[in-house]
Amino acid sequence: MTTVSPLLETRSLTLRYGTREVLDGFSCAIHCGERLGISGPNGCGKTTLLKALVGIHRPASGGIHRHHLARKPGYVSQHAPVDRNFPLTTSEFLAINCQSRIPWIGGIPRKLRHGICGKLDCLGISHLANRPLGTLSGGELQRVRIAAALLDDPALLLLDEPSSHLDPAATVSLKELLLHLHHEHSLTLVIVSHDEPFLDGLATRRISLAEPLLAAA
Amino acid sequence: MVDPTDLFRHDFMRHALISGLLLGPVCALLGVFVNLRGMAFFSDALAHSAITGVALGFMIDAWTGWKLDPTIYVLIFSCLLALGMGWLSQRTPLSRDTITAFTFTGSVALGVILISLLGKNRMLEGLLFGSIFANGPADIARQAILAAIVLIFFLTQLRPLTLATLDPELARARGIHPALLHYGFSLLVAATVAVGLKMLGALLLSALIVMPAAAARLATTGFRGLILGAVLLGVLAPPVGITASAALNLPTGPCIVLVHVAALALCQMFHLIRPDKIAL
Repeated sequence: MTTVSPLLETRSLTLRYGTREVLDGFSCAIHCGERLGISGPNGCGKTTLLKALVGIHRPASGGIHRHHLARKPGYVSQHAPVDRNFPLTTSEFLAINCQSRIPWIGGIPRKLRHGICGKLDCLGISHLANRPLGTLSGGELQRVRIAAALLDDPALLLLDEPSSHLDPAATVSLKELLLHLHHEHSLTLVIVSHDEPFLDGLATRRISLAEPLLAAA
Repeated sequence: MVDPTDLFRHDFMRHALISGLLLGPVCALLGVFVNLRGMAFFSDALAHSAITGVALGFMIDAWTGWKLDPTIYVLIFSCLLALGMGWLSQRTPLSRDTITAFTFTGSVALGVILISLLGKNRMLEGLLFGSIFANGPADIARQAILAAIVLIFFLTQLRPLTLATLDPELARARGIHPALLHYGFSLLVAATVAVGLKMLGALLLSALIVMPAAAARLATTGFRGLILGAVLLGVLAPPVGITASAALNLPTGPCIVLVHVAALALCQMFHLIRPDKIAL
């Protein structure tokens, strides 16, 4: 999957929370096959930028141009706000993430079974299919969330602090998984992280939001 | 003592049974998300605030000379209250719980004063405890329409509602509007309270919403188990409660609630001994 024009391009993007400006005049292009790492100190606007790229934070000004391949990017949010007692199994969690109109009353609808099992298999977590979400470890849960984000086979995957709350072994494993997904599925990755060692060897290009923003673009 | 075998021989018993079989599963289905979204107090508050809807209806009827069914007033008042609480929660630093608490106490206080001014104090008992045997064909028709609406809502919105309940941000990224879904769900709870008030009354109605899902959650694994378990309890409890009430000559509403309490206690005991429970 190759394209000459960028998958995502921001032009003079300004982001605000209420009256507080978190990012001013940010311009950047993300090309197909890239592994972009975005780092910076707390409060510099990393997460807000990612939310704007996903489409859940409206820019105050400027624009985001999305290539048709990036209209529905996969997204793994920063926190894992999973209620440990929420009565969903792993496969049911994937089922509610499917962009399908097939009626669902729990379990996995037959028509979705193939796709869901395929994604679990692809991420090496088939054995977790019937486990309640609340019993998963941090690393397992992060893999499940990535599987959910990849259900619609997006060309672009955006991850917000994916290594937070993970122990060193799980962090290494996650890094290997992302590299595998990039190589096997030509997945373009945008990773927001304050964990510089995690980005080392993973990101092919880095942007630090602590630096002058226009220069970074 | 009434012979339980007479259950189907009288119209009022048949109507009570049909009402129970319509409202029981509807309340249980809504209860799944009332529990998961931490809205048990909200549903309780709506049920109690319905008293004010009835009182306001009487006042409007007295002023205008209209003779509308009180359920219409309760429906409008409950829906406005539900929307108002949702609107306010997004525009104040106060927690949802706090908003519910002052809306609840404030509207009940207003309702009791209005009923007192209208000289209808004796009506309070009926509003608080309900009377399932007073259900007529018109009530059953309303309950059937409500059941159909709730069923359609869940068949089309169960997946987005579940995702929005678990992770609103992820839901937004998937093109879902969690706030719209919340308003829609709150309106359904308000409508159920309005339609169900006559059956169980304000005090017992929220039990019919909260308890089946709470019990099912203790005894099942996965979402399908929770939904099916809650609906099953919602279907079973009204006939059992009505039969027990007829056999023992006891008030029906409290009998239905006690069946749910017994089911909840059994499920809790099962939860304590089940090997696959999630460590809390």
